[in-house]
Amino acid sequence: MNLTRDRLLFKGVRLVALSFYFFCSVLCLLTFTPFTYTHVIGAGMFPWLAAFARVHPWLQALCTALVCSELVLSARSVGSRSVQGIAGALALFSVLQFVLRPMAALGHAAFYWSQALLLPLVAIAVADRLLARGKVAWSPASTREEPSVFKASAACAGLGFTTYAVIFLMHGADPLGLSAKEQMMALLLSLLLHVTFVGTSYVVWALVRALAGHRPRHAVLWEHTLLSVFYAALFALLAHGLVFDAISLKGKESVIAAISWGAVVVSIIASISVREAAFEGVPVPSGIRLLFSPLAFPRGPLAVRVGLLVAMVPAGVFLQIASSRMDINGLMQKLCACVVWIFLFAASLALFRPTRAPMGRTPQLVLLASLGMIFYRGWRSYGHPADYSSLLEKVATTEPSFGFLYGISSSGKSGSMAELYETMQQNTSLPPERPLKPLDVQFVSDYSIPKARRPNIFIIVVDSLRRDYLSPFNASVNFTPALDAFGKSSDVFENAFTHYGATGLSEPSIWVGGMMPHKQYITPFAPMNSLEKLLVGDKFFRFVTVDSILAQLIEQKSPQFAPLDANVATGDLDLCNTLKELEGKIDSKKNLDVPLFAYTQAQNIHVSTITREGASAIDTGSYDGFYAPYASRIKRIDACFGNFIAYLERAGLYDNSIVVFTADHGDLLGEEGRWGHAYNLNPEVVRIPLIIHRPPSLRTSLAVDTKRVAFSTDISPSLHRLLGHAPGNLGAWFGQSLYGPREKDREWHMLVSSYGPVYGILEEEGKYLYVADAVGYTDTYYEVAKGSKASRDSVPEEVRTRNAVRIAEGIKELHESFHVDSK
Amino acid sequence: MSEVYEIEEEPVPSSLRAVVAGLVLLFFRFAVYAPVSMVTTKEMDAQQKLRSLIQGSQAAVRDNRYEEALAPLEELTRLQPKNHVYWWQCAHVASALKRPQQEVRYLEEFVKVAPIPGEACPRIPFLYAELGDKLASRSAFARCAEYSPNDLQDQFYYGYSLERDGEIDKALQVYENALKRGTNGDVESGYGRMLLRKSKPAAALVAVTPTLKRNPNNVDALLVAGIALSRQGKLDEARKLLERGAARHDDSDFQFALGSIAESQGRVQDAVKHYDASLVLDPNNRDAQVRRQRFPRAR
Repeated sequence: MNLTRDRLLFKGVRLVALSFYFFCSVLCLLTFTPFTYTHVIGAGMFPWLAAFARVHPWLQALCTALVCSELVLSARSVGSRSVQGIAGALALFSVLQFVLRPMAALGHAAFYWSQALLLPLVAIAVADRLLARGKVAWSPASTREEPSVFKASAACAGLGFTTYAVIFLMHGADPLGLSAKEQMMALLLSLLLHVTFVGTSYVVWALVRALAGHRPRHAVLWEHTLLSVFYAALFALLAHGLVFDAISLKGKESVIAAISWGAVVVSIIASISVREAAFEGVPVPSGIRLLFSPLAFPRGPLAVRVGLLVAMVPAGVFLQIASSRMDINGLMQKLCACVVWIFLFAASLALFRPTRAPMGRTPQLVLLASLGMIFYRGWRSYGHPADYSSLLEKVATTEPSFGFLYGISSSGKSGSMAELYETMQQNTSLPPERPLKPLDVQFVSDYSIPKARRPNIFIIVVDSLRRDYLSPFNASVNFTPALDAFGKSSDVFENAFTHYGATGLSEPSIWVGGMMPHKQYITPFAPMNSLEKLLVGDKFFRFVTVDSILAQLIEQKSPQFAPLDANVATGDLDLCNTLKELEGKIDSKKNLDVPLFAYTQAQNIHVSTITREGASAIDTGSYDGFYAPYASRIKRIDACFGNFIAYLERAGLYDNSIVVFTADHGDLLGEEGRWGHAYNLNPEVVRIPLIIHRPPSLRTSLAVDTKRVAFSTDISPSLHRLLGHAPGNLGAWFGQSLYGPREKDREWHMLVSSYGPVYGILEEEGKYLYVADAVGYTDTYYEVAKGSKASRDSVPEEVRTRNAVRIAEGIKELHESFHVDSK
Repeated sequence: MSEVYEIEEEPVPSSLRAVVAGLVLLFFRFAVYAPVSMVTTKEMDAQQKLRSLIQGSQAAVRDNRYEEALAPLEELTRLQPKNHVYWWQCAHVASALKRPQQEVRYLEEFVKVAPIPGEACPRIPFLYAELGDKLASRSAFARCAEYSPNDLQDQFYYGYSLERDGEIDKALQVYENALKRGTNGDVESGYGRMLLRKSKPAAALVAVTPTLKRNPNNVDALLVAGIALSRQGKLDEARKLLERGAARHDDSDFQFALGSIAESQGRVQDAVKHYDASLVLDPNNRDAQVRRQRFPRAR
């Protein structure tokens, strides 16, 4: 057999197998994790996932066929029955997928499958080891590697830093509005931190090599093994601390998954490297070189090796920009940075080969590698690091590599906020196995049958819609004429907020009319659903877009209920289509003697939708000063909404209807280099548009103050009041009617991210917002009207102390309201 | 590449290399994770300035150099306007300098930021009274009552300010509400006085009885009880209480009440003597003037 063809086949098959099985494991874990199940899988964020799940057994069969063919061919050539047995087991496992359908599993079954689908990788790793047994020429201890690995580390540090400096200067510095001096300072500190960590990696390797040196004859084998264990542990730690924290995967499952991922991924890479060494049949000079060999072309010609290394810079820039537009709290960007660094190091190592003459300067090189640490410590001791903390925190949001290192080196975890951060973490994203009883949320004790026909209610929610992109809230907007006209005849609430950043809890909170313990979701949800109680009590016929969240929350089996957008994936919900469908449904029901209700939450401008559609404007209009892909879609939404209002007027329904136009939350469109909303409570995320049209008969009878602080949780009690009920005040955690008499609010209001331990306190009538972030271990104080750019240089201690107490009290009080034990 | 390596003797033993690398890793932990001061230069400068202002003002107050203390204290209130302590110290200094207008201004700032604003009571309303601003004084008494709803003395002051302005019903209400929260001789006496003004002598007597049990020589309670008894026709009992009260606190109202009893008992000379004494103690006592005019010739 041709050796080169064998090697290419082997590498190709391993790449396919590793990608396929690991992806399947990730997918099952995302299905198991409540947050990702609801917002990624259930919401149809990636429509092709459903198709993938359907054809998964066939794809696995194909993948297994490839792997088994390669294994059987290789086993025959060496006569290994064990490997043939493994190939048989893999084939059997693949056949079972047709019956067991792992991609259809939910809950804990999905978790078990996420682990089971790693078994083929384990089997492949074992098979590779068996096939390579006795064929690898492990070199004894050598002193030629230290200088070359040192040079490779230095080149990696230089190129890596350059890559991310380019990204920062091209992409990140501008949104932060940093001066040239601040940019230089940021780059200098970034270089220092990168050199520190790359130097540390070198020292770790030197330690491993020194330990392995105790067995001189098997030093390289030991080095390879110890490094594999080290990298597996590192992989597990990163998966747990970086990925699982970001998707709110907690408990023993997160630990098991992190360990198994780390062990399996590193062991398969290690096995590939060993198998490759067996192909080559030449002595293996060092463990680190062997371990990284599958990620580069260490045997390739110089031009290929240099080309690969140079190509990493544009590849890194491209990956970062692509991942920044669709991210969860910078997770994708940080993961991309990790991947870029790994490949950079592999490519650097491939470029710098061992020296021909023995060297043996380990202590000197180790001390040289520690220079970065010495300077970094010197800066921390004498450079007044606190003066730069605000700058560095901002840079960390736009430069993922620095952000990642700054995050793991941050001392925030052990600072004065440690206790609060722990409280926040323990009381956020409560796991499904923690049973919570629903609270009976009753704004009205008795819904007597109304004497007069109630007005119709239409609640139009646009996911991620920012108020400053609508002309009723921003005079410089000229692309929303219909909402402008609608606002002029309606109540425009200028100071409206959501209690929850992101949809997971903000949409349910509209239906509850209040906040709730941080769990997705307390079931049964009906006792807490005050809006549904009102609609049922007042005999409304209900048209509702049942998105992936409402599917878990509302009653759909009533004869008084008809779904909107049936068979449309949540990610595809388009306001124009929904309103057209609604018009048809209203036509068929408007002569019935019942009031009509409609609720929809369009996804037209959600960050995932815009990214999926290419992140470009959908028309050629001019949107100076605005983000065109977002603004152009809002223009389209505005036209469709205007058409719907015109329809209501033509149908004679407008003057007998309450129309609520709002958003579940806002969004970040590049402020401070951030996009999206998952873990952010920036002013742009928590401020929402809220416009309520009242029928003429209700306009004079009830007083309203549109300048006061309002919340989306006030919508339900307001509708109660507008329908003639007298909603009670249920306390600080629930909304109050925006119409009629209103009890004095408390001095502050608590806000929370739907997906992670990020809490905010809105104070002084909505003028200031304090945010404590137990994901990034930072806190910020915003002047709300000025947006994210006005965040103060550092949070004053009195503000921090005051609001830290409020957050702790808030969590406790909220849990007490729902009879939940706080941790 | 086809190099075949032999075991190469490392000039530095692997144990030593491991120790060096381990020590460097320990240093890494120290370099990156050991806590350092996170106070900004700006904050350090501000703290230094605060410290010097505090020390300067404290030294000046200690040496009774109040004029000198005021400037650093005012600077402190400018730097930390939400720190109630500095406002309090400013008020203290203004008081020592006998500048009521300045003092009341500081106290007004104090109550805006203090966790217990009631600490400025009843000083604020009394300062307004001292400055002759009755309206502000009255409003301050009302605020004081709000700041400390459980402080019966503040409730009494508010009730008494209403009483003096002739707002009997409101004062009665204030006293009545205060008594639901506890017992207080001044409040009970005030309540009794208002009941007398409402022509309810029996209820007034009941109101002050607990006070007299606790302190038989409480002059306010003695006056209310004496008048209440005299209105019920129990003149001798009333006289005894009023004489006991007058002996402790010779007041125009006591003398007038004793005069009324003497007049009712036909002791004209005694009545004239008490009315005259009442007018000596308070020449503006209208009731005493009217009664005294009934006996123009008596001396």
